[in-house]
This record gives sequence, structure tokens and C-alpha cells, in this order.
Amino acid sequence: MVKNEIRTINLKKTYCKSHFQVNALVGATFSIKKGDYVSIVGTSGSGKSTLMHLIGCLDQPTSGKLLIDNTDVSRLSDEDLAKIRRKKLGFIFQKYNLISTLNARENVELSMRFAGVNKRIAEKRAEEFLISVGLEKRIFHKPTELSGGEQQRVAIARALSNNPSIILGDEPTGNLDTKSGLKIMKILEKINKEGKTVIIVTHDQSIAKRSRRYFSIKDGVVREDYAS
Amino acid sequence: MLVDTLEFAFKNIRKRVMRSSLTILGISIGIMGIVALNGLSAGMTQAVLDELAPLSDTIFFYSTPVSIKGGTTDTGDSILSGEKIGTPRIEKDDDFSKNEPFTERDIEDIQRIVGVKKVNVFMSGYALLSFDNDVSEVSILGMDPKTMGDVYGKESLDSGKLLRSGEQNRCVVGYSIANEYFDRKMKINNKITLNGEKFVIKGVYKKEGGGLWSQNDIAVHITSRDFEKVTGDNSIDNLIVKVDNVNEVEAIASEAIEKVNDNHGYEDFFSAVTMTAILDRIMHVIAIIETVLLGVASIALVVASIGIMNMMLTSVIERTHEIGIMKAIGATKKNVMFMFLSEGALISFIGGIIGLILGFIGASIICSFVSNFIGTEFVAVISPVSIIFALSVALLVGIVFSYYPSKRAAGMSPVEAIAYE
Repeated sequence: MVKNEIRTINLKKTYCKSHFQVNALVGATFSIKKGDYVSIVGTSGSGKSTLMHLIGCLDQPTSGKLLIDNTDVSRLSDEDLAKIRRKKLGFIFQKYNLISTLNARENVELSMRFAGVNKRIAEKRAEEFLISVGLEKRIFHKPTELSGGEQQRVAIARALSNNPSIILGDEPTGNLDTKSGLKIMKILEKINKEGKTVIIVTHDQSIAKRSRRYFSIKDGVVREDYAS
Repeated sequence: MLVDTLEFAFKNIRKRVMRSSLTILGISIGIMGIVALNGLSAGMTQAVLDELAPLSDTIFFYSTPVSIKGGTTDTGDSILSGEKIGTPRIEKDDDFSKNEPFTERDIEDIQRIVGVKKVNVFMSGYALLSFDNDVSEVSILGMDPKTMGDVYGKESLDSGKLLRSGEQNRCVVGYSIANEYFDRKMKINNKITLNGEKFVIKGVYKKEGGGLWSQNDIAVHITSRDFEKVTGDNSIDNLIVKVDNVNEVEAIASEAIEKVNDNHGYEDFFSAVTMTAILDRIMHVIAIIETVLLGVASIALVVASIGIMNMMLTSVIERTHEIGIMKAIGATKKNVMFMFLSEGALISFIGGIIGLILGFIGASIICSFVSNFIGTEFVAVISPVSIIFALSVALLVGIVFSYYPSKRAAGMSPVEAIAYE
């Protein structure tokens, strides 16, 4: 039996904005198994990014529990959360979020260096990851010298660099044309087939329908619509 | 990770080259001030030591003007403004004063003190010097020719020779008198008169500039016998005493003062100046000047340091999104803090290196200017210790003043930072 990798129990997130509160997430309870391919779909302001940030350990819930590999991360310190982000999670953002002063290899290398990987090993691995996403001719190019699709592939290489078990994509094709978007999705699907859990937040139904599990979120309420 | 961080910091400095350069310039100016002033001060100390240390076995004795009856005398300054051992306080009448000279007995008493190597005697006064139908008042110094050899030596001559025993109506003139006092420059064997007495120039001293013997430039040296002929006075009013052991110089000076004052029946009449006392006093003054100037230079450094903080705060705000990305990919608070601290420290360190070079150049230029002005060689001394000190100060300033911006960057929430546009 495949064990649960991510489990949420009555997870809530409330933002206080001056004189009123916004309930961004209202008691989400679900579980994601190791190797799952999950889409979270919702309109703008539905709470999908909030959920992604919580699962990505970038933010902490107001109440409830979030277990990653049976560890309740909702009460961990900043340092421990950083450790989990480094070891277990890989992020892919809509706007790629590469560091402009660094070239492709250095961007991929950076997270490995934060994880304490030796510089030479990190360089070699970064190059391998870039080659695996088809960027062997773009290794020393800076983000400004790359197309959107290429930048996103660098971001995927970066997300994979520390060999995390969970890949989180926040609208990973949102800024790309259809052809480039498709290329990215194929890479993510390949990654999933290699055994990694892939969770994608999107508002694009065609992208969402490629996943095996499909969560919709509306007004902070999460519902699983189908599992293929 | 340190190399990566420094490399990353360097890239960020290059990315914001204008802002970084201005901040570096600020630090450079602060460090330049500290290095230059420190170098000048050390050079000044070295120049004083070079000038005075060879005379640390020397005591200068001089008599001071006194009145014969009633009142209290003003002692006036000695030829060397050092610390005096025994300050004259003579009861006197205001209408008449004179220099009471040293006697043969005084000289013998001093010579008998254990540890005294030699006593050189001098007579000092003024005379009208006539040359080429022109007249000028000059300072004259009468001494035994042997004393001239011992105290001044051949190496002090620009041209000609020193006086020899038995010679009469021969003189050695100071550089300024020979070259600047009259329309025509004086040469060896030229004839002059001192108070109407004819003299032949046998030697001309080298230019002393601002050194200990600077008064030589404006003096004429003659024999004691000729001094008496020129001035009608044979009073000995200056003694230069050499001692065997430098460590005993103060004790010998005190003993000599006591004996001479006893001989003349005064309590506190003759004064002595030792090089140790002069050195102590000069070093104290240099230390005060150095402290004040370093304080001024430090103000420039503090202003520049605020510039670093300002730049780093701006950088943190501009790179908020980047900080968010780094946190998302696993950077800890310490990683982020270290990155920004490194950047501040690197900027300051580069400023320190540039400041060090500029400080050295600045100090050398000032020294060259001062050397030409005072006529004595004066070299800035920038020791390895002051180099290490300057670079350490630069590094420390960078770390201290980028601490707050770095802490602010490290404490940012990853979600808020990523959302920042």
C-alpha cells in the first residue's frame, strides 16, 4: 500500500487585513500519496495559492495540521521549514523566478549549495539536470538571454536539483505559449513517472485534466472532484 | 559556500555599479584619511626620533636672563623648547637684567660628575655682519675649534673646512647667511666684517632646514678668542654636555643643575634640557595631534558607513523578491544574512583597499610638500600594522553597518517576499 506523503487535517488560513479577516482556506482535509499527480484548480482569489504556499512550507496555517511524511510541519521553526523546503520540496513558479545575476547553471546550483553540496558536485549535477531538460546549449546563459520556455526548464532543473520527493508547480505554464507549455507539462509528467509527487496549481482546465487527481478550490473550500 | 557567497556578492556589486562605486568611494575617503594621517603621524615621529635620538646622550645647559634686585623674572624660551629641569625664579628689580654666565668652576664641577664624558662650551651673541657694502645683524657663536669638530663635524659642511686650533679671524657661516642674506652669495675666502672686525670665510654649513641645528643656518661660528674681540664679552652662556650612559642623563642633569645653582647662590637659576624630556614632550604633542586628526577622519568614515547602511537597505528592498526565491529554494535565515553581510563587508573592504592606496599616495604627496617646505626629509611611515588596522576597520565597518539590513532581509517572510514586485 502506498503511504500518504502529504496529509492535511482541517487546515485553515486566515489573513487579517486592517479591520477585517479573510478566510483564505477553510478547513481543508485531504491526503496525497507518494507518486500522485495532482491538479488544484480554482479561480483567482479562490485560495489555491494559499494552499500551495502552505504545502510548500512557505507559510504556516492559522490552525489545523499539515503532515509531510508524517511530520507536522505546521508548528516547525523557520529553520526546520527551510530544511524541509530544501530536502523534500521543489518549486516551479509561474514567473520562473530565476535570479537575474546568475546564469542557468548557477541558478540550478544555488539550492544545492544551500543544502551543503560540494561546489564541484553541484556544478556537475546542475549541468546534468540542465541537459535532462534539453538546455545543454544554454548552461552559461543568463535568464535575460533565455526564452520563457527555457527559463521555466531552468526552474524545473532547479526544482529537481536536490532530488526532492515533491514537485510543486504554481501555474507553471501560465506565462508560456501552448507549445512551450506542453513541453513543460511533458517534462513534469516524466518526472512524475519517475516516482515523484507532482502538485500543480492552475486555472487552465486542459492542463488540470492531464493529472490523475483533480482538486477544485472555491472560497477557500477544497474538494476532490475525481481521481483517474 | 563562502566563495560562492563572495562571488554572488561581487556580481550584485557589479550589477549596481554606480551606487556601489559611490559607497566604495565614501569608505575609501574615510580609510584614506585614517591611513594618511596615521602615516604622517608615524613619519613625524620617525623624523623626530631620527633627529633627536642620536642626541639622547646630550644635555643642553643654558643660563637665563635675570635681574639683580627684587621682583620675579620671566624665564623666556630656551633655544630648544623642551622640558626644563629647574625653572628660574629669581627675585629682581625690574629695571636691570642680564644673563649670568657659567664660570670655570661650573664647568669643572660638571666635568667631575661621574658619567660625564665631555663638556662643550659656547658663547652666544649678535653682531653686525658687513659684506659687499651691505650690513645685516646675525647671530654669532664662539667656541673652541675642537668643540666645532665634535659637535658639528665635517659632514655638516657644504663647502670649505672647519676652524683649526690657533686660527684667528676665520669663520664658518650658516647656509642662509651665505646664500640668502646678501645680493651676492658668499664663497670660501670671501672677506666679511663682524662688528668691524675682519674675517675670512673658511667654511659654509649645509642647509639644516627645520632640524635641531636650524639656527646654524642664520649663525656665524668663530673661535672663543675672536668672539671676545668682536663682542668684548667672554661669558660662557651655553654648555653641551655628553654623558657615557643614556639612562643616566636625567640624573646627571639634575646633579649638574644643583651644583651650578649652588655655585651662584641661586636656588633655581640655570636650566638644562635633555633629549629624553624633549622627546617625551614632542611624542605627547604628536599623540594629541594624531588623536584629534584621527577623530576628524573617523567622522568621514562614520558618514561613509551610514552610506553603506543606506545602500544595503535599498538593496534589500530592491531584492525582496530575490530573497523570497532564495528562501523558497531552501535558504535559511543564516544563508540570507550571510549573503548580505558579505556584500556589505566586500564593498567596505574594496573601499578599504582603495583608501589604503589613496592614503599612501596622499601621505607621500604631503610629505614631499612638507619636506620641500621645511628642508628636512620627511617620509610617511605606513607599517604593516597600520595596513592591517585600516583593512580591519573597513571590514568591521562593513559588517557592523550592514548587520541591520541583513537582519531585515533574513527575517522576511518567504511568501511576502516572493509576492513583492
